Amino acid sequence: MSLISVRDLVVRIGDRVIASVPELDVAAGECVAIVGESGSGKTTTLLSTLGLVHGADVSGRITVGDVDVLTASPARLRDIRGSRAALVMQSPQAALNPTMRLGTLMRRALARHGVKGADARERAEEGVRAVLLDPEILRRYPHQVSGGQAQRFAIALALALGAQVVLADEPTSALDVTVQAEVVAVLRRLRDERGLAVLLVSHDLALVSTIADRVVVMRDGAVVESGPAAEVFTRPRDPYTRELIAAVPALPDAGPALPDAGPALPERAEGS
Amino acid sequence: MTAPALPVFRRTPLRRLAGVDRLAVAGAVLLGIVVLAALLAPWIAPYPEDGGSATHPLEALLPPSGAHWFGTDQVGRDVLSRVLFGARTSLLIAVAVLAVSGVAGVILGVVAGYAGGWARDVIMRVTDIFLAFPALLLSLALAVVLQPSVTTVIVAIAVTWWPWYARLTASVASSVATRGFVDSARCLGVPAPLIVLRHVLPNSLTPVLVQLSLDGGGVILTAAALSYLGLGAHEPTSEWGLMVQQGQSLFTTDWWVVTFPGLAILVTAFSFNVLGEGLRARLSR
Repeated sequence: MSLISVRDLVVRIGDRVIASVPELDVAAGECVAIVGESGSGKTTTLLSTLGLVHGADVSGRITVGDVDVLTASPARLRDIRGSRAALVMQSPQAALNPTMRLGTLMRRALARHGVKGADARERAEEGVRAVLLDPEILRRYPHQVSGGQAQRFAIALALALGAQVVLADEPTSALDVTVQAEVVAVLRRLRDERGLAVLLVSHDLALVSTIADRVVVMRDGAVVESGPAAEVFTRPRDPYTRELIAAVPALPDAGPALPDAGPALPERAEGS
Repeated sequence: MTAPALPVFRRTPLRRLAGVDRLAVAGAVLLGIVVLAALLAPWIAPYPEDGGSATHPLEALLPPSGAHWFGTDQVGRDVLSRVLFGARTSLLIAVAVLAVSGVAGVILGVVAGYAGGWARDVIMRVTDIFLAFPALLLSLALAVVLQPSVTTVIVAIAVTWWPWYARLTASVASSVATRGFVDSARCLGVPAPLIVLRHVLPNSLTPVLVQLSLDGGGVILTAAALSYLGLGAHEPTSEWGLMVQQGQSLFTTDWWVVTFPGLAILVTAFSFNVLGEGLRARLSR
């Protein structure tokens, strides 16, 4: 059974369609990636799954678990935000209130969803350990943690709240490469070990290829291709997908390995 | 290869103090003295009863001496004692005005800034109307209508003071409202009132706190002006503006009556200003 199911989603501002997705399902233990260039409607699609698109007409049918997002009351929507599906944002430190210790933030988020006292403390520490952070981090303020730690904390928060789906909006684009790998490794581990589902939005195909099970390619608000990741990357059907893949400097298993990278660099510079 | 351990710098109180501009420290110290004087006036004033309605006609207009460091006024009251008691009045007015207008302005501003739309329009237009009046004239008009008293001064100044905080807070809050942590609170299902209280408000306060400390001097000056014009504190209350007004005609013959309360106003307003300036320099880093 899918945790998130989207059918015939159309998001409009005035007459302009900014996202149109006929079908999208995310099941437990699965990572689905939405890829595409800026303005392709991928973030809009992501946000609409929690009813967070404002100032636009949203039609179709979106369900998160047993909740129909488009007809649910604002209070019901607030209840499922975080506890069913939690968002992990692009710039991790900006997503943390600088006046609050991480532990306070965690405690308040848990209290908001009905978990209090010793139980909350336990879940907070358990969540933090699951993303390989020291629970000591709960005593720190956001400016005292690194970007990678902040991003892993955001994932820990989702886990502590009991979210089965993590909605990750460009979760690594504000981080440097080694830290990106760290965050991706954590997401993969949680997917494999706990059956966490990930709905990932990214324009970083190299990242997507390392984690996604299925890929949805969007352009100008429409889905141009979707299917299993391996298939989309090795045998792209749509010309736009081929273009996207060609635009990637080096997919992990494509292009020359490091020792040969020297002579290859000038060629790439000419090509870009 | 292991990286060499970096020295860890802890922010000790001493280092923190050293980081602050010396002028700001001077302002804080001066203000501290004024606050102490106000709190301890009944115990440190050489003639506590002179803070009120006592009169000693035989000792009128004595120049500064060992017995009366700041001299005596027209009815023989010790000017030093009255300056010390005057600090109570002035600080009471400053604190009350800043508290009332600060709280009102911040609440309206943060709501306007976060909510946007019609709520913002209504609040900001009302604010604009208040700002359109020349502040001192509006205070004067109010003070004329109400009975002259310390409470009148507080109300009259607070009414013209809050719009500044409302406007400042609204502009800060509306930019804070677009920051990631507000979005992420929304994405965690936090209801709007709690978002405003816990996320927008604490992150919008810094500029207002700086402005409040800078404005302390302004409030004291305005209060002195109202009392000087006979619209604020009245006899026998010790109030610096009132004392200046009573002493000014004597300046050429008995300079001390007007000079010491005038200096008290100057020192207090100055200490508020340098403290505020120092806070701004520190907090905007």
